[in-house]
Amino acid sequence: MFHEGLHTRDIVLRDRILAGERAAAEVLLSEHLDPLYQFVHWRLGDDVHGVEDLVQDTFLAALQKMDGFDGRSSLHTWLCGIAKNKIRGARRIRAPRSLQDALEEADPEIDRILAEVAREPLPDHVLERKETRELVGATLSSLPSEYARALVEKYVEGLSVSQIAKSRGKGEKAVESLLTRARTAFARVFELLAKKRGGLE
Amino acid sequence: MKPAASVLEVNLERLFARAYAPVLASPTFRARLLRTLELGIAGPKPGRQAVRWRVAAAMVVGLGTALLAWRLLHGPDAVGSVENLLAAGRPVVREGPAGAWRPISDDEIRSGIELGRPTLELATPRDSTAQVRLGSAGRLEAQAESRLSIDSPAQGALVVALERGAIALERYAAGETWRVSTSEGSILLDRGAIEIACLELRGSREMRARLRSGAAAIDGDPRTELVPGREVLVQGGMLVVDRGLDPSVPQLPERSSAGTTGVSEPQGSGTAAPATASLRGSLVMPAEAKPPDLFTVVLLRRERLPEVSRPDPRIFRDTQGSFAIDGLRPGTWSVFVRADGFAVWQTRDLELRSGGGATELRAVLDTGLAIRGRVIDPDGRPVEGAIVLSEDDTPSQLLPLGLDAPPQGSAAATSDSEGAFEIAHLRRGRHLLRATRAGLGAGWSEPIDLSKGDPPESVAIRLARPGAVEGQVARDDGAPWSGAFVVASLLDTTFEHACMTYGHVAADAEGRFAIEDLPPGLYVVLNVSEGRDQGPTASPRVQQVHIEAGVRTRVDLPGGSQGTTLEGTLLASDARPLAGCDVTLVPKRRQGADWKSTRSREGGRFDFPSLSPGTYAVYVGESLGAEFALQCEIEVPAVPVFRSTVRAGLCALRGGVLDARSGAGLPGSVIVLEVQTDAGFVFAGKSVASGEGLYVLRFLPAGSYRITAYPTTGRFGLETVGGIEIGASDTETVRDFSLHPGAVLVVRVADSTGKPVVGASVRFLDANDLAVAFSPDDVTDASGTLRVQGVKPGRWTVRASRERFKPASTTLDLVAEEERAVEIILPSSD
Repeated sequence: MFHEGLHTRDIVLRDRILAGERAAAEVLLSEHLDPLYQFVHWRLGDDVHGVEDLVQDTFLAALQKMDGFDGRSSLHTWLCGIAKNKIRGARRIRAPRSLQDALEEADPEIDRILAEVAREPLPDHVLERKETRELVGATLSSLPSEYARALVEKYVEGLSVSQIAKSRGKGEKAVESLLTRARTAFARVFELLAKKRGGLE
Repeated sequence: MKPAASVLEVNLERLFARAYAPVLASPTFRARLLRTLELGIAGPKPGRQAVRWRVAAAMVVGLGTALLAWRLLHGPDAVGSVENLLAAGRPVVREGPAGAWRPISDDEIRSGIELGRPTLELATPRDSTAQVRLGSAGRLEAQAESRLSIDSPAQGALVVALERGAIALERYAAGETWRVSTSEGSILLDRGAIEIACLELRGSREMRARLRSGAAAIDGDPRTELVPGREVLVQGGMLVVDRGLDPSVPQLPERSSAGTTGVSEPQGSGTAAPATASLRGSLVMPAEAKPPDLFTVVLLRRERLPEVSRPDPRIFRDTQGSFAIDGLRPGTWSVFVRADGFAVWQTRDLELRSGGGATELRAVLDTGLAIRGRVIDPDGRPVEGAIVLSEDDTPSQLLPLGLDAPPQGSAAATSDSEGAFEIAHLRRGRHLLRATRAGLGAGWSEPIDLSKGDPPESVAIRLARPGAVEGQVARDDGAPWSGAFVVASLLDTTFEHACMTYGHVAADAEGRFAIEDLPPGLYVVLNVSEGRDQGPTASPRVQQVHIEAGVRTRVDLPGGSQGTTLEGTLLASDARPLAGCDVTLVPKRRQGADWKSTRSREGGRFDFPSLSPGTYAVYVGESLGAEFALQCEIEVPAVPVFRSTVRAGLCALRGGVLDARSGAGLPGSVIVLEVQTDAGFVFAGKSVASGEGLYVLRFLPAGSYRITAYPTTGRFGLETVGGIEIGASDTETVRDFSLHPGAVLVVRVADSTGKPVVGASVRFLDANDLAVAFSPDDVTDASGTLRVQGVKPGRWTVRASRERFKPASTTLDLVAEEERAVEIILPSSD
């Protein structure tokens, strides 16, 4: 399982938190704040304060339940599970503009094109659309953080496979394999979201 | 079908290049969350009781403190004692808003007042003028019932805030632009001489300016250059009239005024003289000591918001050591007597009544005790030049951070190159020492008890890594508010401080401000210039902010240009508009943080610009933050302007907070109101008991409530009264508290070698395992100690934790009135 090492690290972090080690907060945030923030942002909408509240509540709930984290999933996935429940609760109370709304407004033809991301070249005008940006963000926030990080390093930061491998202390083949899986996962989630129009939960 | 990798790769490259916009948490949010999580990890999660106390403490102290600052620094009443001094016919001056007003000396009348401090405030009577020498740069003459402040924050950059009256300003040489700000506009003086008057004629305010020579302009867009010899009239920042010398225009007003609210009108002959009280006193000297040639008596009347206490110093030269003061308002007074070579003598609860003769007072002077200590920086290095003073011996409610000399009449000292200080004459009693120095955040000692004549060997005061608050001040139309006076006031949630600490600054020409050297903590930030001209019921909008050590926090006043403007109307239950009430919005889910407050105007109208969309709890009160109650929740959508009507509840809940043994009222007790919801009891308002221990909570909507009294004096434990059912048509209900004494608990946290552990989190769990917070943080100080009082008798578990250590706890049974010390040893986690 490619998650194995990551989960071990998560369990170590869990134990530091349970031991009351204050410095563990810094580690928790450095590794999980941005991915969780993006996850909540793309599901809750542009209300910064609402997103901040929900992210804070998620972390506080996680602290309360931390002894229940068993490492079978990654800590990121576990945190996103808590956040999902809170997002559902928030949606019941208010209805902010979210990806769901944006997708409702999206042009069906755009969606059809986006759903073919793995097979058809994307036209320029589609790349300029707001819903395309939202789909990219929402897709990334739905992937395992390892996949999202690899894709950002490769396509945003422009790192080569060997540079990524070096920075992670892994072999190039392992990174290529990781990127392949990440690309495939991205395409599948991207297509799913484009077709489903707000299937995020 | 297997995906075509090449197409996907190309698409991904293009998507990430052109359609990827990362969304990141802001640094401010990250810092706040980090602190929250650190506290959450280091101790048990706060129970509802703790949250309730924190919310109450922050809002109680916050709103009250903010409005106290506003009233003291620029509120309508600020003129009162000045008017008394001006009645003697001589100009008066004070150094900064926290200084004491004094008549100018004969020397100063002859040769002018030297601007020796960064801030000088000046007021002149009708028939007298005052000159201020601005070093070698120029001079200023104040005339005609003028009221102004002069700020010289940097060499050459002079800012004059002219509230009313007239000035003649002369500048000998060009340099950085000087600015004169009035309520109607600002003048920029590059060089030369100018006359500026701020008038109120027939109910209309205006600024008139005439440049005599040199170069000056009206600040605006566009900038309007003034022509020497021509008079201009400016209203609302706009040039209204520009004419040549017109002899028909009076040079000075018959009665000049801008922002004259609070100035006493002369009373008609038919008005009955107010009842006043008199005080007669005598100094009682130690054996073989002679009375001092000169001594100062400072009076401070206890007030309840919206009134505020203002020091009233009187200087006496009487070889017999006697003094007499007449014309005092009846009430409860604090009296401070200060003489060289002696400790400050004080009494805090002196009842002065009208009729029946003067109250006699014997001030027993004593040389007091010397106390020594050391001021260190956050890294433990000695701090030279720090001003150390006893807050308890300082006769003021307000103490600015930016002191460059100890306040008049205070017991104070300055630290030397080793950081050492000695206060030679300190009263035998309780003291809290405060140390400040530019470039560092203020620090406080632990409470020191000198009542037994046993001073500690040395007192350590650690200054903090300074934070700052910065931002922009704008008027409601979005224009920068040049010269606005911005205050950041530290909230005392421990109720241990005798004085309120604050930082302040005037906004620059673009409305920018930055208040430096703030110790970390909860603050309220407000523009005290706001609301000054709108009458006695006006008040500024207030924002709460948490300042982190070493972090600059952005706060815009009244807020950024983004977001929703809430235009609200406040109505009574019978649909009458409610003007003059405080309306406070608290973002839901933020537990009392980041609230905003304003005051309803005529027609019950109120507004909040720049709100983030979301749900807000709405609180209403009418005692300037001393009391407010939850009314409803408002859902603010993401639209430019949102209108909402709030109907205030009908019922008033009243009662007394009493000492169960003596039946005496417990003044200053905080009453926290909670309402029952589906999720249990939630915070719904608060009140503060009066000097007689009486409280009231108005505007309560129908619901099931409970109230808790938190005593702030003595060692009483808190008490909760539940089962309060209020119906929609109920107008009043009464509940009293009888409080029993609590205990004082001193927790010392040490490592396995006995060395104190600084900054350890301490959590208190009551017999029901409910976490109770006694302050927002409950952490140990530089000596590894945390002292809490008012701990209810019974079983408590005290748990301490700190990174690099394993948490440890102890359980103990407390009885009423005892003071118990416990030590918790934290084993190393290595």
